[in-house]
Amino acid sequence: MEQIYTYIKVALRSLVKFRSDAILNVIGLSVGITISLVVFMYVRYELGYDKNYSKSENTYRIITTGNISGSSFNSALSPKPLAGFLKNNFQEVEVSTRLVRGSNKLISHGDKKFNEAEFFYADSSFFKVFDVPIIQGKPINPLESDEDVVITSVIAKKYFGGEDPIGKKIELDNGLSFYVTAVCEPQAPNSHFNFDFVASEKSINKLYIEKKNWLKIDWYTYLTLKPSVSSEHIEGRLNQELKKKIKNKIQDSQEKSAGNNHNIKALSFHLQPLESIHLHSQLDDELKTNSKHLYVKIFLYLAIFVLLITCINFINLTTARASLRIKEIGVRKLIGGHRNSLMLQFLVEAITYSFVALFIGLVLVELLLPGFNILFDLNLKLNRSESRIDLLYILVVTFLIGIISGLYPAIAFSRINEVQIFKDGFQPKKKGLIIRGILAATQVMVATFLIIFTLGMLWQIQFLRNKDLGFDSKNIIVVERGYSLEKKFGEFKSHIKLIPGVENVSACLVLPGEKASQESFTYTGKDGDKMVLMPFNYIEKDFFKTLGLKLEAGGIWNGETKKFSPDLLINSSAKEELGFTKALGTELQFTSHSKQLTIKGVFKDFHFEPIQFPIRPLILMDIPKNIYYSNLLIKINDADKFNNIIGQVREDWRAYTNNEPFEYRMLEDVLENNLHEENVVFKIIMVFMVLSLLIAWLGIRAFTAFVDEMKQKEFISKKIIGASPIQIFNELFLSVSQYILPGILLAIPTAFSILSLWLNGFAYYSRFPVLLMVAIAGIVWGLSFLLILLHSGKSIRSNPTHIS
Amino acid sequence: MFQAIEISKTYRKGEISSVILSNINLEINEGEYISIFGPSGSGKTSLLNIVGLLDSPDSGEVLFHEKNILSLNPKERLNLRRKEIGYIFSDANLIEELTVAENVELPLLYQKIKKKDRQEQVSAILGEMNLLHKKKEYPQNLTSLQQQKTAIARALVINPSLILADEPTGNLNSTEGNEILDLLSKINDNGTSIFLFSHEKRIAERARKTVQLFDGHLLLDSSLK
Ligand SMILES: Nc1ncnc2c1ncn2[C@@H]1O[C@H](COP(=O)(O)OP(=O)(O)O)[C@@H](O)[C@H]1O
Ligand SMILES: [Mg+2]
Repeated sequence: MEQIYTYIKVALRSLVKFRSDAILNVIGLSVGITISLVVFMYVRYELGYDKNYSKSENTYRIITTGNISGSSFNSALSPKPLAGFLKNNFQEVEVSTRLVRGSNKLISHGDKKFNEAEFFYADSSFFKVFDVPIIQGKPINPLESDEDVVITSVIAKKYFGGEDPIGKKIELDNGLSFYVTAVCEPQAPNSHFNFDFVASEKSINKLYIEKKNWLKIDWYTYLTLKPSVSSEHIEGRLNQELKKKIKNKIQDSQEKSAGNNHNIKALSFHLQPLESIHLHSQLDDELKTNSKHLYVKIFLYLAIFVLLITCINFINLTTARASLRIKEIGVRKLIGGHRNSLMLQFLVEAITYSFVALFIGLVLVELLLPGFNILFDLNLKLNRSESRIDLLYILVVTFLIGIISGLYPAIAFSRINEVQIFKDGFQPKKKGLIIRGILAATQVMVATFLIIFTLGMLWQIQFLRNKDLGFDSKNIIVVERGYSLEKKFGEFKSHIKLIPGVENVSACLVLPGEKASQESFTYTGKDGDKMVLMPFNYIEKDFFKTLGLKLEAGGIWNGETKKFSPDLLINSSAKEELGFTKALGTELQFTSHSKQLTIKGVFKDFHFEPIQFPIRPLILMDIPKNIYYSNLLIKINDADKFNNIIGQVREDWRAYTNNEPFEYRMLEDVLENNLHEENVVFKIIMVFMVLSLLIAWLGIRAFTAFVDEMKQKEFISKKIIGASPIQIFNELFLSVSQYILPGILLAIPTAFSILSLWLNGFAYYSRFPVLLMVAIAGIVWGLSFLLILLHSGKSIRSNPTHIS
Repeated sequence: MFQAIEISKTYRKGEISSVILSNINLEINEGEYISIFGPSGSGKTSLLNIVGLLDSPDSGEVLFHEKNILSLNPKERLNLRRKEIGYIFSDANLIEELTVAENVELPLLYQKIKKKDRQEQVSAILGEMNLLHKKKEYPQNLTSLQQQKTAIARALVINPSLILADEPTGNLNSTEGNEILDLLSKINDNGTSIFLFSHEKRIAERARKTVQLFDGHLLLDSSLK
């Protein structure tokens, strides 16, 4: 015991004395430990999704697969009557519930008005399945009557401050109002949905009477099975019992709508374990964008890989400078140190360093986590239960890292024969040279690869950012929720146009840069009636002027905003797709209703969808009277007056909409946001690049030290017979480069092919020039040169007096 | 030709400092063969390092052809060493990856001498040493004596005006040692000055003149004869 204590003391003393190898070793280990801590936290967070309810394990969501109008679908939704059906017909079902997200609602309490996205309607069993703790109010059956709503503590604070929220009224902009019956804790952030409000679903009946419809798939249904009931069994029985029922309904509906509307053919239902939704479910209509199990796996492997590399570097560095330790070992052995006690010493040393590194790693995690969270849009915290890693687990892993790192040096060093040491001095064996060289080369290759890859991504992102969109997105303010103006858009527009600095005002349903929706159109072609599915958008007549779009032929409707114009505009891609030689004057129909429309203009293609996608055919048309524009576009010509303009627009908005919330974005920001995913991936890879650079640095350092040590005697001889320090350094540099350079060069084709793979996902791309890749490789080599210079041993600089 | 005047050297290790050489005066002229004789630890190697420009004294002057060489910059010193001084140690210190010829060629390579000239000089010296048949061998395949002869060839190939030999027979048995010592005498006969450092009286006596070193002091008038 006392021995171990002494070893720990000696190891720590080396650190305090700034022995450079000890410090580099600890830096290397801390980097590895920091990365793996963050990754393990992330993994734990991801694996912990939806595990916080008392019956999570036995809870399932029912999903629906089927076929509509010829195309199959897999939806997270299910028919409304299903929840009740389950409870009434299956003994094995302990409880079932259904919920639906309210459409984006303005919610008010007195003068407090906010837009709320996480407003849900659910039946009264909701809290039996999702049993978050109720902190205040009615703990049992809080959604009993029509006007009941349960809110989270965060919402309670937001709307009611310090007041008691129970019994208070909240009002929705759809005319419904609710009274708070209970306040609950928010769900864990790692849940597949996070409600702020849950209101009684019975209230929906006040809006419109909804018949029990098995063919409308628009509710989320959950059920909890009694313990030890097999979900497959229930699934089988459910589909069997519903088969006939659904078949009849389908027939009914087809007769009624004469085969015109949505043609549902065959539905089937599946039980999906609640806990697996986040990582295994990629369905239509998910409540949140889910992640993939693959990502968790990749990150986990990456962390293990980084840890292994860290350990290998530790071994590499420790054994590379063997001669520093060899005298000490020889003496210890000579005066009777047993082989085992020597092994113990090296193990204790490595473990001590691991724990110092762990301490530094924990501090680094605490410091870096806020940055990580912002960078990757995560919500990890060291001391929060969703992401916390058990201390015991950390300690065991750290201990293991120490053992793995220390074992090889311990065995190698303790095996050395003391007679040999004192007779010949110690020369590291050349045997390790190739393995160490390949290791260093691999590390440098990975780093070079990641540098090229990150810059290649940046190159592509910049390319997309600067690509000509075919319209002018600069200085365009997008006012959201345009439908709040209802029929007053025309008036509002003419008012806004008078504001100094406003050049043009227009509106549309779907914003340029957002995914367009499609409609089915029918037209008479050469060989009879044809039906096509095409992206379309409702626009206001000044849309073209405001965005600077160019017409190729024909014109756009004008004047008369009061009357619907049957004129259509198509882009050149649509003209091509439809195969028109002369498009103007051709008539088209919405397949679902009989409005007769005529093509009046052809415009140049522009990127109306996110820049990652190819330009598709597009139909633009006037907005029907019963629909309102979602987005208003205001083009300003004087960016300096921005604040002034926004202030006035807001004032007018309030006047015209009766104080609806005013929300705006810049069109350029919307477009930039389309690159969000690419940006996130770019950032993740960049972080790994920086880390790989650190690791490569340690790798080069260890390998240089090894070569230097191996050649020490040779270098001294050469210096004595007249080699200059520069000549000696050149030799060292060449010996190291022999391994590193192929690694650097190999990174170029690797990066090239993997970049190409990534670029394949884009309709438009720009390859990172090979010449720049070569230049980067050159720079990396130059950096290695500096590192080798920095870490070249004393044998190069000192006088060659120590020989024989 | 070569003069060391009032050389002193002290090694410091932390707070402890020990005087290794004090007020050494030493001179050698063209064609002279002087041995420095003294027990282990007396400072022979330290003196060789200074005389051989591998190390600097704390005080004193080193003159080479009347020129103070301590004031030279490292590059000028290196050039002087490359051209004028040959070193022989008890260990041959040959480079394992290089053949005998390549080992001998190395000092010329550092002087950036043309390939043709190098090869001529190497062949000439190997011929003199009777090593031409081993030209393509690697040092590991030579006997200790052959190794040491290669080291001497390497020292001589630059045609130095001064040879420094530190215990040149240290790794050899007495027959082999004698052969090396004969070789040194022959080299001296050809006009090259030699400093021979040894702790063995029998070996030191092979020089034409001997001085004695004891605890860093040169014993005056210490001619053994
Ligand atoms: N680099 C050094 N640092 C400190 N002391 C040294 C160093 N080199 C030699 N010494 C000491 O100087 C003394 C003379 O050593 P050295 O010149 O090698 O003697 P010799 O060659 O006659 O055996 C010895 O006591 C030795 O311990
Ligand atoms: Mg000596």
